[in-house]
Formats: sequence, structure tokens, C-alpha cells
Amino acid sequence: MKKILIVDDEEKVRKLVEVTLSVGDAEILHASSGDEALKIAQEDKPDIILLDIMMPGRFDGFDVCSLLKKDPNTKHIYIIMLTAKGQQVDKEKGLASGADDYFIKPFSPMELMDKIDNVLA
Amino acid sequence: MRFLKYMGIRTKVIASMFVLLIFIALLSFWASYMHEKKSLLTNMQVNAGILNRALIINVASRKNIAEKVNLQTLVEELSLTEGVFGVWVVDNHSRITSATFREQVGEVASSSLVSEALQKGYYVSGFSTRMGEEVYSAVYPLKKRDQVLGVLEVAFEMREYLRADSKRRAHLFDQMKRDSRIMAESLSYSIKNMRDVNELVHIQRLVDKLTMGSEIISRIMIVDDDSRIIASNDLNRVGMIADDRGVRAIINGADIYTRLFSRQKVYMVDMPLRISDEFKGVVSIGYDATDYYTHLSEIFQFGLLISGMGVLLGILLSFQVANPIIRPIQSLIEVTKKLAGGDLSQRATVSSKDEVGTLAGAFNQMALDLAHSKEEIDQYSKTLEEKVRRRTQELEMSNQELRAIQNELMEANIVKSEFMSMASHELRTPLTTLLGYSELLLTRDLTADQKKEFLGFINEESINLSGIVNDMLDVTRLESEKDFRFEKKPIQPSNILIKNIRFYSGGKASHRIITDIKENLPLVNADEEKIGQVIKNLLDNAIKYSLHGDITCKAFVRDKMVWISVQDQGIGISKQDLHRIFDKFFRAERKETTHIRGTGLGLSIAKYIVEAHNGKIDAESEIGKGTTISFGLPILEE
Repeated sequence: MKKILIVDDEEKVRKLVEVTLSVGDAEILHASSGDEALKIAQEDKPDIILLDIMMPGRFDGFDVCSLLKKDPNTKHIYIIMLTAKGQQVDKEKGLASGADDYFIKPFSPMELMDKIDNVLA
Repeated sequence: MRFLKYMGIRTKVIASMFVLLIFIALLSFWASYMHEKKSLLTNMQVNAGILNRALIINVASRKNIAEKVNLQTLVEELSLTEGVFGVWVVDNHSRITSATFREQVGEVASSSLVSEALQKGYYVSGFSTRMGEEVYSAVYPLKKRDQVLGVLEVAFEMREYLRADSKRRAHLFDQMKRDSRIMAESLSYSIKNMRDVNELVHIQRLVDKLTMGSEIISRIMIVDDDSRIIASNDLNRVGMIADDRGVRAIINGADIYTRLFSRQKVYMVDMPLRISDEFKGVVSIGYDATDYYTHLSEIFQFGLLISGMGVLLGILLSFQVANPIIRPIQSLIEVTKKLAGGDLSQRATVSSKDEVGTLAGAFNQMALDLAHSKEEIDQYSKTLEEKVRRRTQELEMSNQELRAIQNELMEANIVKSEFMSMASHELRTPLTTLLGYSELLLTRDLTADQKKEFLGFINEESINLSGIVNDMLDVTRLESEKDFRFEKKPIQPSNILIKNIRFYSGGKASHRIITDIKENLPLVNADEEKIGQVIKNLLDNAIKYSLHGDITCKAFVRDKMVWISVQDQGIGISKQDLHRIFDKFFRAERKETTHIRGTGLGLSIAKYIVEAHNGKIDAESEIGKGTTISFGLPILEE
């Protein structure tokens, strides 16, 4: 069973993603901060991480992404940036930190699902 | 004359005047000297001429000077007598005046018999030697009134006497004695009767007298027409042939001949001796020229003194003459030097109308022109400086303006990008909820609870979104200040604060709110709703930027204003950012705040509103300790 980690400080967003993906057979994991995301990523080795950028705590999304991509244990994880930072510079910065894909809020749950399906396929 | 180049004009003028004066002095001295000399000489000549003439008259008055020739003739005739070896007439100076042997005339008789006769004044005879011949001489004095004028000597040949034997000798000796005595006596008698002897002696005496008695006559010589000296102050010369230039000239027919012997200091005047127009001889008189030379040297000394004084006077005069010429030139030089040194106020003194005066005038004109030009240049450079300064200032100002505009533009750009960033994030976040859940509601089969929950989310975010939109519109309106209408009325701001606190304290409040509100605060004239918005924004921020801790709200009076302050114990803000917190879209962008949602417009709007009420808004903060935002509104004056 595939594991998908959702990292976002907004509960509403995590819930939205969870409900969206509930139709598939993937296990959904939650993290509300960068620290938490890193910890879960190490322990549970999710297949996909949906990563918000602006979060409270020591690490924001960029930090988490580059840390995971540097770690041989976690660098295989497919990371999709899911952020309200919709400007081109933010996108470039996200891809530079090693993100595999970049999703800008607001997003269509349908599109996200298609994306996840493609990745998992 | 190379050295002339190195002389000053003063030296040149003085030197040239000096030389000129010396020249004039010498010339005048020489002229006067020559004139004096000539006049002295003429004077002497005149004197001598007069004296000569007097002497000539004197001599000529003795008439028969020529008769002396007869004496010589007589002597020569006597010499022809049988047995006579020779005859001599000797004057009382032992000088031979006439002789058988003519060449002996003028010589001094050396015979001891002659001297004896002259000395004793009586007849002397005896053997003697004459010209290598043994003779018997009889010397007979020539006397006149018992004065011995001279002697006559007759010498007899002794050849016969010497050849004879002793008997015959005695006889011959007696005869010789007798003959000689007779001859001498007779001759002396005839000579005594000849006047010449007298005259001769007289002339000599006259000559002696003249020479002795006169200071001016140093020598006199009377010469006969045969150049024989008849009389002379120098007795040794009497009877000798005078062979000097003067005598020759007079014998050759000259009327007068003068010579000056500078070494002997004698002025010789030779004149002919004429008796009734018949040339008889030469009178040569030597005048003592000591006076002349003394005079001359006195004149010379005096002239020298005069010349020296002249030169001295000349030097003084040349200084006097040179100074008026030199002084203006010197002062001109001084002035020129000062002028060249930069003192343009210098002027030369125009003291004369000569070339130097003209030069000084021209110089002054030049100095004036120079000063004018300098003034103009100064003025021009001053104006130029002023212009440059003004232009620079203008440029600086426009530069500053440009910089200000640039800053404004940069700030506007920052604001724009901040707005874009804010809008991107703040609008997208609620929209994510709206879009995501509405899609789920539309596409999924959901439970009633889920539907209710999701619609709750949508509603919540719609309110948020509407707040953001309102904030944005507010800021835009406040900036233009046209559409923004305040409905001011007397209100109590502390009441609005209390109302807001009550709203935040309700429900699941995350922070404890402490209040410190003074009682009986004065009223302010304000828009109640807008002031409420300010307080809400402050409380929002305080809660948003402090995770925990107390929030302290105060209301008090200070500086004629009613103040409301909201203090949190949150993250705080750095000093350098503190002034920016009232700027639009400014948010304390730090790691720990990135997730905090907000437009960054709250404080900006608060500032607009407070300032629109003539109030003040302040912020104090310290990182990690919290922030205090306070605003004051002017007390309503009744």
C-alpha cells in the first residue's frame, strides 16, 4: 500500500487533500510542520510528499525538500510542492531545492488526484 | 665699455656729469694757467726790455766803447818793436784785455809779476817764461787817481842776452831794464790817456753794480760786435767769445731774443747795443725767474684747488641734478615691483612734465587698466563661481529629487512585489478552501455532516477573503482620501476598546487580555466604526504575532490626547524594521512568521485612520519580548 504524506499547517488543507485522496487505496499521513514532516518521512518512508512551503517552526517547505533530497534514504521520495506561493520565482526556488513537481493553490482536487495516480502508476 | 651695461642709470648720469665737469675744470685750469703764464712772461719781457734799454742807454752814453779796439791795435803795433817778445794789458782782475797774441785776450794772466804789480801798485820786472821762451818782463801799473786799473806787461826776447858772455850780459841786462821801463812807462802813459781803459772798467763796474744791487738781475753780459764778452757778472767770462744762440741771433740782426732757462730759473733777454744807430754789440741780461716760477706754481696750486673744488662742487651738483631725474625712476621701479607683487592700488607720483613724468603717467594708466581688468576678472570669476555653485545646487537638488523619485519608485516596486506576494498567498489560501471543498461538495457523495463541515469551511474562508478585500479597498480609499468619509462624533475610545476586548475574550481565547483603563477619560471627536477598526487591527496583530503570553490594553491621557495602547509578549520586531511596520503590506517576514496569514495592511490602515483624526500612532518593540502599539486622539475641546 502506497503512502502519501501531506505537510501543511492548515488543517483545512490537509483535510481537503485527505478527502480528495480517500477514494484511492493509499495510506494518508499528516504533518503540520517541517520538523514533523522530516520525522515521518524518515520513519514511514512515504512514496509521495505533498509539501506546503510556509509553515511555522524551524524548517519551511524549501528546507524540508532539500534536506530529504540530500538524504540517500529519502531522496527517492516524490515531492510535490503544494503552495500558495504562485510566483515564478517561488516555483523556480522550489524546483531548485529538489522538488519533483510544483502545485499552486488553489488547486482542483481532481487534478491533484490525477497527478498522484500518474506518479503512483 | 662693457661695464657700462652693469651700471645703474643713476651711476651713469653721475659719472657722465662727473667726467664732463672734470674735463671743463681741467680745460679752464689749463686756459687760465696758460693765460697767466703768458701774461707773466710778457710782464717779465716788458720789464727786461725796459731794463735793457736803460742799460743800453747807460752803456751807450759811455760813447767810445769802440776805442778798446784801438788798445788792441796799439798792443799789436808795439809788439812789432825790435826785441819785444810780447805785450799784454791786464785789468785789475788779472784778465788779459789786450795781447800780442790775440787768442790770449780774456785769459787770466798767470804771471807772478802781474799779480805782484797789481797787488802792490808799483813797477815790477824780472825774468820769466812766456810760451816756452825765456823772457825779461817789465810790469807797470796803470793808475788813475791812485787807483790801479790794471797793468801793462812787456816781455823782451833774451836770445841775444843768453848767447852773450857774462860781461855782455850785464850790459844787455841794463839795457833791457832801461828799455823796458821806458817802454812800459810810455805805453802806460799813452794807455792811461786812452779813455777805453776807463770805460772798460766802468762798464764792468756798472755790470757788477747792477748784478750785486739788483735782486731781479742774475746775470749781465755785454758783448762786442766780435762776440767777445766785454763785461760780465761772471768775470771769468770777460774777454771770451760768447757763442750762445741769443748773441748770434742779435748779431744776425734780431731786435730781441728771449729765452727761459727753467732749470736755472733765468729769463734771458738779448738786445742789440746801438750807438747812434751803429751796431756795437749785444746786451744780454738774465733776469731771475724764481718769482715767475713761484707765481706759476702758486697759480698752478690755486688752479688745482679751484679745480678740486669745482670737481667736488660738480659731484654735489651732479647728485643734485641726477636725483630729480633718478628719484622718480627709482620710485617708479619701487611701485612697479609692488604692482608686480600684486598690490594693484600702487600709483607712481607724477612730479614733473618731462619724459619720466610722462612715463609715470603712462604707468599709472596701465596700473589703472590692470586694476580694472583684475576687478572685471574677479567679478567675472565671482559670478562664474556663483553660477557654478547655483547650477551645482540645482543639479544636486534635481539629483536629490531624482533620488527621491527613484527611492519612491523602488519603494513602489517593493510595495508592488510585496503586494503580489501577499495577494498570491493571502488570496490563494482562502481560495484553496473555497475551490477544493466546493469541488468535493459537487463531485463526491458526502455525508450530511461532511457537507455541513465543508460548507462551514467555505463560509469561514469567504469571511476571511471578504476581510482581505475590504482591507485592500480601505487602503486604496484612504490613500486617495476622497471616498473615505468619517462620521465624527464625541465618543469615548475606551468604550470601543472594552467592546473589542470582550469580543476577543469570548470563546476559546488563546491569550489572556489584561486591561488598565483609566476612569473618566475625556471624549474625543472621532468616527466610532473606524476607531473600532483600528483597535481590532491592533488586537489582531497582537494575537497573531504572539503565540502565547498576555496582551495588555491600556487607556490613558497624555499630551492632551487620549491614548489606547495594546502590548503583546510576542516575537517583537527589530529596530531597523520598526519604522516600516506602518507601511502597506509590510510584515515581519521571519521564519517563524511566514505561516502567519495577513495582508500586512492592518497597521497601515490604522495609521491612516489615526492621522485622519489628527492623532498620533507609535510603536515600541524588542525582539523576543513583544511589541506595544499605541495611538492617541486629541481630546475634544468643549
